[in-house]
Parts: sequence; structure tokens; C-alpha cells
Amino acid sequence: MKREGMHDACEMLLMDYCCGVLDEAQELLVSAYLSVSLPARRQMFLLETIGGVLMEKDCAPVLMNEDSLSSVLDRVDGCSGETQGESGTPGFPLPRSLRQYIAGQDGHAGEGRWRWAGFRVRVVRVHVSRSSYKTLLVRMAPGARIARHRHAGMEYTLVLEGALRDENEVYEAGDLLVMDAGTEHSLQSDARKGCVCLTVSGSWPLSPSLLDRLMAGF
Amino acid sequence: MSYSEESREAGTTFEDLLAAVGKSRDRDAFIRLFEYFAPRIKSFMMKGGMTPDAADDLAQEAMLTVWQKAVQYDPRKAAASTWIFTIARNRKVDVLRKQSRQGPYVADFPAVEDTDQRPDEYVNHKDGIRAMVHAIDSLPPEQAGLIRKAYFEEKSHSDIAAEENLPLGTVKSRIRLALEKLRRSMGEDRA
Repeated sequence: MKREGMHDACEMLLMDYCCGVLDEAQELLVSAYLSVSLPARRQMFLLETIGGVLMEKDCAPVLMNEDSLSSVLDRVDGCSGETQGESGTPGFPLPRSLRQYIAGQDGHAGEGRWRWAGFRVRVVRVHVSRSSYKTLLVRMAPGARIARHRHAGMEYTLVLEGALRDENEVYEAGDLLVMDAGTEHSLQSDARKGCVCLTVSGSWPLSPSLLDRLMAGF
Repeated sequence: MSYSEESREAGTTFEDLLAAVGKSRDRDAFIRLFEYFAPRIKSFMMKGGMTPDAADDLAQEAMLTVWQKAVQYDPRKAAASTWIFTIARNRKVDVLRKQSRQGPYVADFPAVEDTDQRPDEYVNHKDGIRAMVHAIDSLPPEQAGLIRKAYFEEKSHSDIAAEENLPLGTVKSRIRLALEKLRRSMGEDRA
């Protein structure tokens, strides 16, 4: 069933994040996903635990350079370390990972930044400098619709607030919807709550070599 | 495999050491952590293709971050190895992205929060980690191989598929099967 496939796609995305191979926009998406989804955090914790075990178990120690420890200790003396926790409260207004991309010190995207993108739909472009994906924050008024459309490339939609439905499913805050290239759907926001989503979309099929070339240009 | 047993059996765990660094800026505890983890972080990075010097630098940076963030380490939430792996992975991503300072904010601690953990609940990481080690060792070789490739060689699933000459779907389903087994080994049947 469709839902199953999407779950798998999310799992693979989390795995790629854990292994450090994501594009910057995808990484932004996953860090936002982790801040709004408990199941995603649990899965990531599993992946990070596996990583730690593999590091202990499979990585035969390689002698550090002679002066490495003393050089770290010198630097350690210069910094007292952090005092305050960074865990904060996950969730909306904006996950912390998003804030630095979208002004507003209070974590809200300033009203003036929202642009018209259809009847009762507003968007803010999220500028990710080194990515071939287009990243948008989308706000849909209660009951607003996005007509059926086809995706030229892969698209991820993370529901940050409210709820959203396509032909098959309802997606609540914390859900991540993955659309493969070539698939179609229409969307409607929750009639009462509307929704705010982060979408990351590749507008053309990406081959690794193309991605490499784009990345090399910066 | 000198899998951290001596130190754990000796009564002081890495979790204790890390907590001591966080609580009282304990240099001796930090040195012991450095001596154990830095050479393993270095090794991990070299498996991913870094030069020995770059890997050494990265291990230093990661350990410096360990010092800086240790105050946030909560031994109830994560094993030391989980926590240090997460930091090392983040530093690696930073390095690969070097020029651009504006990467997304990424939390430097493992992902789970104490949603269903009572504060007084003792978490036995040692057993959990040991179960995980055993589970990894019992994976069928074709699954274990793909998991290691993904972690050590920083390859996406499609890269792995191309390299192994396997259909992408096969790579994904093997990885998924492996993860499912490992998840069960941790007793995480709650998701």
C-alpha cells in the first residue's frame, strides 16, 4: 500500500542523513523532521547507536599523531564549554534548523516574506545555498487546495503544523510525504487548521554526476 | 576485538567519564575518553577515504566538541559511543561542506528525547550495546556488508547499488531488513 512505500522512503532518508550523504536541502528537511517527529527521532537514535557500535567494533584504533592530544588539551583550556542546553523545545513556530534560513529572530517567518502562490496559498522561499533542490515553506489556509499536479523530480513535504490530505491519506504535523519523480497528486489542507509545510523538491531528475558538477561550482 | 570491555568491567564506564567531563570539567576523564575514542574516530574517517592527517584533525575537532558539549550529555539517554559517533558524524559533514558556513543547524546529540523515560530509571547501555554488537554479528553477510558500506563509505543507496551491481530495490530491502533486526535487538519494539 502507498503508505508503506512512503514509510520506507523516510527510513532511507534518515539512514542517508545518519551516514552524512545528504544534499544540504535534504539535510535541512531531515533536521526539521527530527524536531517534529518522535518516530523519526527514535529511528535516528537506532541509526546513531548502530554507528557508535560500528565505530567501536569495526574501527581498529589508528594511532593519533604525537601532538594531537596536547593540542586538543591546549584548546580545551581556552574554552570553558557550553553551559546551557541546546535541546530546547522541538516543534513549531519553526524548528531551530529552519530559523537561520528564514529571518525572524522569534522563529516566525515575517509576514512580509510570504508570497502569493495560489488561492489561499502562501510560500516563503528558503534559501539553501548549495543545493539543487528548491526549498519552500508553504502555508495553506483552512481548506485551501493545490490542484492535481505531476512531479518532475522527487518531492518531500513535511507537515510542520496543521494537517493536509491527498487522495489517499491525511498527513498530520510530523508526517513526511515523499513523492517520487513522475507521480501526481492533489492536496487539500485541513478544513479547520490549515497547514504549514516544508517542501523540498528536485525539479528535474538528478544524476549523481550532475549533482557533483553543481556542488563543484560553489 | 578490544570492544571497550576492560574499561567497562573496571567499574568506570565511558558514560561515567563523559558525565564527569560534563559535570566537573574533569580533564583526566577527558583524556581517557580521548585515548579510547579519538583513534577510533580517526579510523572511522579513514575508512571513508580521508587521509590520515585529515582524519586526525577531524578526530581532534570531534573530541573538542565532546568537551564543549559534554554538559548536555545525559547518561540516561544515550551510550557514550552513540553520543560521540553523532558528534563525529556532524563534524565530518561540516568538513565536507567546508566553505559554506551556513549548514542547517544540526543537533550535536543523539536524536531521542526522554519521552517515556522516568528520570530515575536506570538505563543499562552496556546490555543494550552488547545486544546490538551481537545482532550485527549475526546479520547475514549480504546485509552486514551493505550496512557497513553505508556507514563507512558514505555512499548513498544508489551508489551502493551501482557498485555492487544490485538493483536499488534489493539494496534498500536488505538494509531495511537489517535495520529491523537491529531495532528488535535493542528491544525497541515500540515504534
